Amino acid sequence: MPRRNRKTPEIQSGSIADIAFLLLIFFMVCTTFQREKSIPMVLPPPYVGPPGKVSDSRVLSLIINADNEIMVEGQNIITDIEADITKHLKGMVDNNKKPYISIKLHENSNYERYINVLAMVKSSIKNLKEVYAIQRYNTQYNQLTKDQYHQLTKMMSITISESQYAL
Amino acid sequence: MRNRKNRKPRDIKFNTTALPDIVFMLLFFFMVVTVMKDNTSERAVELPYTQYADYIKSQDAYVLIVIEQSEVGELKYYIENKLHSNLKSVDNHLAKLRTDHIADPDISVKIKIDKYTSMKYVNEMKSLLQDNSFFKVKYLIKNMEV
Repeated sequence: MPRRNRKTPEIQSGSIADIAFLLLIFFMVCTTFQREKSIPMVLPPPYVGPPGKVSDSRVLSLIINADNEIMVEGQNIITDIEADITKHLKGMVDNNKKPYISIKLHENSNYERYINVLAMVKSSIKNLKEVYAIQRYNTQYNQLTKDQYHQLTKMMSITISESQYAL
Repeated sequence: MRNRKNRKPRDIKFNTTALPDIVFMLLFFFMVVTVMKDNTSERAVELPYTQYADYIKSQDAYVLIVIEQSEVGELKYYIENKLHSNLKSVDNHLAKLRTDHIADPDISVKIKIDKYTSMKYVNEMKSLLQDNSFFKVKYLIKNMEV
């Protein structure tokens, strides 16, 4: 029997770092930190029954026709729709009325226009809140205390209603 | 003065034994953070773009709905990556999802809709969601890439 001279086996670990670097660079290149953006909405529960009544003085009516043109309070507005919406909303809130935004969409208007209008409405509500935060509490909107925040939200409670029409 | 002149330049050696550890740590970080592109984004859905939009918190659970419009105007509905060609089967799938997520009544629905889709079809989908008690919807907006 030949005498075996056993050595403890060794694993070459010198190149592990190279492999790790390679993987690291791959994942670094693949990673994107981009977050998804969205317009959040809360749908109302299905409603059957007679249509409710809202007093005219607190309704802001937005109508989008089949050609994707927008009418604010019966007027065809082309430029700076958002400023117009903000103006109307501010008028209502100043008179202690809770705005009720009614969006009427033609069935052939497209989704892009609808999303645009939603974004404009949301953005003008946000702008108004910022304005009121400075006016009433003399602080920035994101630095309001909890109580002030709730008061402001209560004062500005805005309903958005959507309906579809066809002609 | 003389002392300084007599000094031999020492060769500086870095201790690199901890280097692989650091690299591995970074590697694991990026492996965990990486989200591979999902195949839904490869579908031909062109999302609308708006200046105002909210960011989505990525950890929330959600249901994904895609409405895609082909060039001939034919609609395809994808719910959780499953293709439906008519609203009846969309309704059935939503009802099934509702019972699956019974513990999570406030689960949100992410909706990707092609920007040229008529509101008629969008409203049809909305009323199906209402019927199946999915109330929180998030209309996804295109991310501007420069």
